Amino acid sequence: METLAFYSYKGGVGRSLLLANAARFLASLGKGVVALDFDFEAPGLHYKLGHAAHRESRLEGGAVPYLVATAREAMSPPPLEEHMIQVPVPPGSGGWLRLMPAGPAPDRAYWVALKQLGEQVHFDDPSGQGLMPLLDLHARIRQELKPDYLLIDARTGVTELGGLATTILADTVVCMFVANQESLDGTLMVAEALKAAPRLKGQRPIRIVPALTRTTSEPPSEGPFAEGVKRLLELGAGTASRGNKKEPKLFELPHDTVHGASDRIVAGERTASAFSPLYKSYLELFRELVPSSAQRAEEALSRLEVVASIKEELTGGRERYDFDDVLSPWNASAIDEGVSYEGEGYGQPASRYADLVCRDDAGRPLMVVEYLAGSHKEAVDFWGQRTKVRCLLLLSRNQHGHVEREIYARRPDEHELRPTDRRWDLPLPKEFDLLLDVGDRSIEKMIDALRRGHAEAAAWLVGEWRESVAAVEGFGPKSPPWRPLRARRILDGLAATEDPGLGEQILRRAAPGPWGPWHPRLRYRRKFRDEWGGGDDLDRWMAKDLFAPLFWRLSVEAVVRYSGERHYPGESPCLAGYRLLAHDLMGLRYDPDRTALAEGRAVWAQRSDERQGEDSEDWEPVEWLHRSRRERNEHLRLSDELAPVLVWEELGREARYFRGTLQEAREKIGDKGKKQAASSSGLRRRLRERLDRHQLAAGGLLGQYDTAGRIELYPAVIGAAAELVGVSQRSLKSVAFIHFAVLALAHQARDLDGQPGYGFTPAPLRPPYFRESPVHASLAQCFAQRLIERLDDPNLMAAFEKLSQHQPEPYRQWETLRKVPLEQLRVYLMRARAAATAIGLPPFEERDW
Amino acid sequence: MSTDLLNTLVTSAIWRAEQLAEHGIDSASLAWAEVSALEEELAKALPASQPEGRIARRGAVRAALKAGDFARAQSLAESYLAEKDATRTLRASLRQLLEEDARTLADRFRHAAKAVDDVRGLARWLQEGGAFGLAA
Repeated sequence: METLAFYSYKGGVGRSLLLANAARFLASLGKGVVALDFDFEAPGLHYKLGHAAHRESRLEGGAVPYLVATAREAMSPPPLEEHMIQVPVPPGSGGWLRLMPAGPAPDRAYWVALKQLGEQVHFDDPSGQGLMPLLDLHARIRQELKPDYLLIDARTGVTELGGLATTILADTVVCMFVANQESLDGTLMVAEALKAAPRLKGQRPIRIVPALTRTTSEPPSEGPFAEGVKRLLELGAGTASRGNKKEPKLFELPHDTVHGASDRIVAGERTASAFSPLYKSYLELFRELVPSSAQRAEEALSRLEVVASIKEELTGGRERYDFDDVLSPWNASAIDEGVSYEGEGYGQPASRYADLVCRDDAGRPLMVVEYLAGSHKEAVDFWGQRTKVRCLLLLSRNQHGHVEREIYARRPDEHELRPTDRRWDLPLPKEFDLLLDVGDRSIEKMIDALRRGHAEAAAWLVGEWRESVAAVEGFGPKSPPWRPLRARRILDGLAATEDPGLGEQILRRAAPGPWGPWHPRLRYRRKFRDEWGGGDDLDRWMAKDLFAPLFWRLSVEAVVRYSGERHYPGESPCLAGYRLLAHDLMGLRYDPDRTALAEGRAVWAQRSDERQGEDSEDWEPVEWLHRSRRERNEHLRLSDELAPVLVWEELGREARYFRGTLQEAREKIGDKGKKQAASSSGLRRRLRERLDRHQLAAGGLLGQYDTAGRIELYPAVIGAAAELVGVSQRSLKSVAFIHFAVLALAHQARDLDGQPGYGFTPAPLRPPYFRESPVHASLAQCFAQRLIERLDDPNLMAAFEKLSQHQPEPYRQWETLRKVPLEQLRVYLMRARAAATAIGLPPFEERDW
Repeated sequence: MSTDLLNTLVTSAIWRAEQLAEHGIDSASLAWAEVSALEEELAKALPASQPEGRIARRGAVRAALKAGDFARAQSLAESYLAEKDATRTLRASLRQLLEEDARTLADRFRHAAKAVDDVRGLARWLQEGGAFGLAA
């Protein structure tokens, strides 16, 4: 039996907690352990180790009643069992733990017994009558209970009993102190006294293990404190036994706000939540205290460290290699720890220990994490054949001590778990909905999930896209590999999304910002920026190479939704799509915010005389900006109204010389005329006539860009035209959108001089004056073709080419201008834009408001 | 004080102490302490060479042990053992008294029986030096 005494010169250092943990740890290793509470004046070990058992069994015994009874009943010491509590230990460990508490404290009976002890037992009685009961108890425990370890909670300070427990009974004394001079000086004094104290015959020299507790920072390395620690370590080293020739080490037990505050006994537990820096330090100390169990302590430490780290990773506590809040991590309440899992099916009942079991909302187990001590095959067979878990994560350490992970997965309808290629990105809860086989989180599978309506897949795909292109920004060794083909596959997959709602989600995810300060994505963005220092650059890449192509390639309905209602205050739709067209192709600057502010300022300047004396002069431009943003939200819309060309045609039959506006014309033809014109057969007939004449001009028929700065598309006409032309309705809608977007930008965007293109005025939509400018139509088609070419979308290109075959000559001029350099096209555009100024229209700023 | 008077006092004190002990009265140890004191006085008056002197010496040590005052018993025994005219028989009997006491203690605490001598040494160390021997 080895006796370990835990001593502290000052109280409140966590002595009893350490003892309780040590006792439980040793018992969990299959050892027999007796814990003895000699802290008579403030007993508490029974609270930490056996409080529940104590209350249930209504124990009246303990060390104090035992010693009193021994002193009273000269020849018959009472049975030990009456004074001990059997403390439960982890099942299957093979060990046992008994506690002899000080007594039934805090009951009155205890304090009566303690008073009697003081009166009847004098440890310094030279006859030995006082000391013998103590030594007899020690020897009796050794002979009757035969434990491997006796752990004594010695009284704090300088007391007779504390001195006896440490000098006479103990083989090893753990001297605990906190990081202040008072505590250290007292401990040093006692340690020196321990060294000089007499020992019983046959006892080996006492071993002193100093432990600095409740540390929150590194102890000072210089000064009196450091000198004291050095001396304490020398005392410890000088008495090291069992040939331990290692350098003396000061064990530091950190302050633990979780386990320390709750007095939770974590030692011996195999659950990840037991792991903490304090427990890690405990295990390191146990390794030193009990060299024979060092390997087991090492294994326990290793297991807990790995499992705790996995749990932290699963619950998102650790920094993940992510670019976005892609998929939510596991909720801590969805993860059970240390489960003895009962296998299902026929044959012998079997169970297996799972370190973690991750469950879905209904409580069904989805994934199991096991730290492997035995063979992989056994584990895979059990979890595969006797359970329905869809994923198994096996953890082990290789010969170099590195953690290895193996992830096995299966589809719900499969019986066997298969090894997967996944290693470091652990399956997240949503993946079990998104993917049939969580082992295969490929782009294609995620796109498939997207098709099935899972918007989270879009988030993941966008994150993957960012990761695939991040290397371009040269983030150094931390950068992921550059994978342009992968990025392209993601882009194509996202662009093929049909559902407008999902399309809107995709655009929102792909938009790099700006967001309001409360937007949840900002957190990730900041983190990313801090770590990589290139977030802004990557945002630009994302805007240009992901958002912009998606803006044009996704369905127009998705774009309308995206441009519509805002989800966050201050959120404004990303303009990267328009900017790709304006900046990269048309050579113009498109910055509606700046334009709005400039216009606001101009208005303010005009009215400044009227507003003399007002405090602020900024409100007007800002108001202007807000109005501009509101209007921009309605920039594009799909209209159920009859296309203008059809309205005029319809009206032409009844009122040939009508001079009203389009709205008035619509009112005039009324519902009847509208129905006639819009009937599918009538519409198809009229379009076919135009088709035959190559008169399927876009302006006023498929859509329009009006003087209010709005693009309006007519889905009914586009649908009928698509059917006749033989292209998909969706593609044709996008082609029409691109065409009108070119017109809009040619009008609104600014050149290098800051001048807008008001020479590129939208058609006034008044018959018979409405004549679409052939130059404008040609240029719009040229830039539309360049954009579609750049998007590299075969569907869009096919729709564009097929449509243009049925369009008037100016619409087909892009074919002859195909080889013309882009720069030359820009020159043509600039000339066309300058037309308004050329005819004498004053520049924008000089107009009279 | 004459030895006759002392003998009379001792006889009655012994009778009193035995009666008290027989009836389990707590003050028996005080009575034995009184016996030891009287025997010590007799031992001072009578040399160890005389049979009465030897009886008084043995009686003083035995009564001190019965009084539970081991320190006094040991101190008396050590002083009587050191006397020049102490006979071999006296010395042997004094040692036997102390050994019997140790045996009684060992019988009471049989698990730690082997450590009785050590224990008494440690107890003295504790008495002299206090906790941890810091006051020594």
